[in-house]
Amino acid sequence: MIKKMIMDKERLREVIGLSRIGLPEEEFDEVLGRVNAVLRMCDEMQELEHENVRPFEWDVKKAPSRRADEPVKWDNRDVFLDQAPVREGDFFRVPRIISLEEDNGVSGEAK
Amino acid sequence: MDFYKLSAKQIADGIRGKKWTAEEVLSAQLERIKKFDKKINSVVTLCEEKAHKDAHAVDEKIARGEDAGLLAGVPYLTKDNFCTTGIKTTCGSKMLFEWKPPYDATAVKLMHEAGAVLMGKTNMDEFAMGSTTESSVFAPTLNPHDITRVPGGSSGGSAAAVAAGYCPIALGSDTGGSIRQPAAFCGVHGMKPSYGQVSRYGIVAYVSSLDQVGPITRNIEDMSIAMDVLAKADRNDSTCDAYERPSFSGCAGNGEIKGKKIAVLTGFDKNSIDKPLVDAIDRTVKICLDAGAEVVEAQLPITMKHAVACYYMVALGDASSKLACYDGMRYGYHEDGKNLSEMYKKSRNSGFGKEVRRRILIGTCILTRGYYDNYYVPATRVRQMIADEYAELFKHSDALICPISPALAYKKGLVEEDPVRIYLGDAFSTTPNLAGLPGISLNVGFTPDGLPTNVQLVGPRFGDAQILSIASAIEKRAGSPRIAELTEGGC
Repeated sequence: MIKKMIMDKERLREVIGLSRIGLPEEEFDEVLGRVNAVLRMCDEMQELEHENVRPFEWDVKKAPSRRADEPVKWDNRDVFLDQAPVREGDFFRVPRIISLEEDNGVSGEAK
Repeated sequence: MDFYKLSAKQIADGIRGKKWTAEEVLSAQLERIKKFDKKINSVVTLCEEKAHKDAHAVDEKIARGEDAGLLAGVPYLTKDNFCTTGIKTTCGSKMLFEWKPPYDATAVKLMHEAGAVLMGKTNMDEFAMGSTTESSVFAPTLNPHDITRVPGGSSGGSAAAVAAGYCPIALGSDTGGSIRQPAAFCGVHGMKPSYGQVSRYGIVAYVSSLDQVGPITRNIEDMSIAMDVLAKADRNDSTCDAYERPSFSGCAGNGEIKGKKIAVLTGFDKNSIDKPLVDAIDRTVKICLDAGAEVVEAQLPITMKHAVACYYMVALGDASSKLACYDGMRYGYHEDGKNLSEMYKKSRNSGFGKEVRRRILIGTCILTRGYYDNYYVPATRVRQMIADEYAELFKHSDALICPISPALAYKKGLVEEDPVRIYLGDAFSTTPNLAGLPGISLNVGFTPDGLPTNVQLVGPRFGDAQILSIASAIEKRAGSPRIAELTEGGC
């Protein structure tokens, strides 16, 4: 049975961190309101007896055959490297993953 | 020769019959786009050089007496979330503004193999998240029938392009109505095939279990031919069914509704629907009755009450997960940060527009501890109940007639003023996606003010040929969509 849940400010700040997206402070209350509006819309599903219903899955007329699990030669690595926002020679340049700073982000978790 | 007035079949027949060449058709259509699209803004990228090369190849094939394909020399456009080798594929977003994919989507490959000539890419709501084509980084697209109104979305550019006579076929993708609703706003036909009917390989995903590729056209015959080209099993998409497809054009060509049982949806407040759209349903029902069909009333109580909530749980939850791949590192928009976390945040915050960022946030909320079990998992069960409710209806009916949108084409800017009304519009459009059913947005006329009135035909899973046949029979009596009257620079 669905129980009514509310998204509070503290939890939303946690979610913003998880989504790797910053949210300007002036937009915070609006987004909080919209999240809770969606949740209230979903509360109505609690009137349905769905506990014994299987989660949705597609019915298939004829299952597609699978490709052989074999490596495929790809000669044109520059096609991908050229898309790199920051390329250094034959490498994608990325920031340091292990950081010395506390930042409560990915680098913090990786320590 | 006014090629823009011709259907895809007429263009291809003329090229095969050497009445005109693919080059001539292409040049005329490119000229039309350049002349009229400055204001409508439906085309975001033209690939003229490649298009001329492809058209030339078709003409050479014809000259050699070879089979040039079902769509020989037919110029077309595709939504900007279809991967096209070496041609920008932006999804209407700053995030992918300079991205050039290294491969073609299967749909693009199949169109090419059938002889169709890709002219360019069309505008869309950013990452297909919207219903007005106003959230694109390329600025909004306008409705060719009335430039004070939106073309619908998210495939608004494709629908507007077909309505404007730039091409007889354009491709779109439909996650919750994104082909059918813009087709309705622009007064053309748009089809979302059954899930598993057309390969999704190479389409930038919004929600993998809901997305489906489909054609937008000005007549059902072209739509059926496009389906013959597009609906093929694909080993690159494990969700694309391997069953042997019927001839869609064969079924539509014999379009007949005599003896068919057509359900018409009731049980919703007709006062919430714009009057001309209620009239369009009534007119369509009368056409069916006059043509010898049996029409019965049907209700979908669970679907109509819970589909929107269910859709938003599934769609936003999945979208937040899908869009996690845009990290500013391997491709796409990048901003430097002092560490990995800051780079992610800065790249994603600047690369995504406001609506996309909000949907990712809401989706992330849905998938977090507590909310996932309480809301997302029940939504997957409710989704099955919706599919079961439809399956029960189609045990007794060949097709369902219902609205595709509660409103005529919106005035510009409504997305900011009243998002709730736009969300409610999803009640009619999202349910075929949730249940994997085919749906056709069928133009059955215009209001006295010139605004299009479309109805929706929904069929059972893999009943695509069946509803094309019924749509064809209705079209014979209701007439085909008309091309918008344009003046240079706009309308």
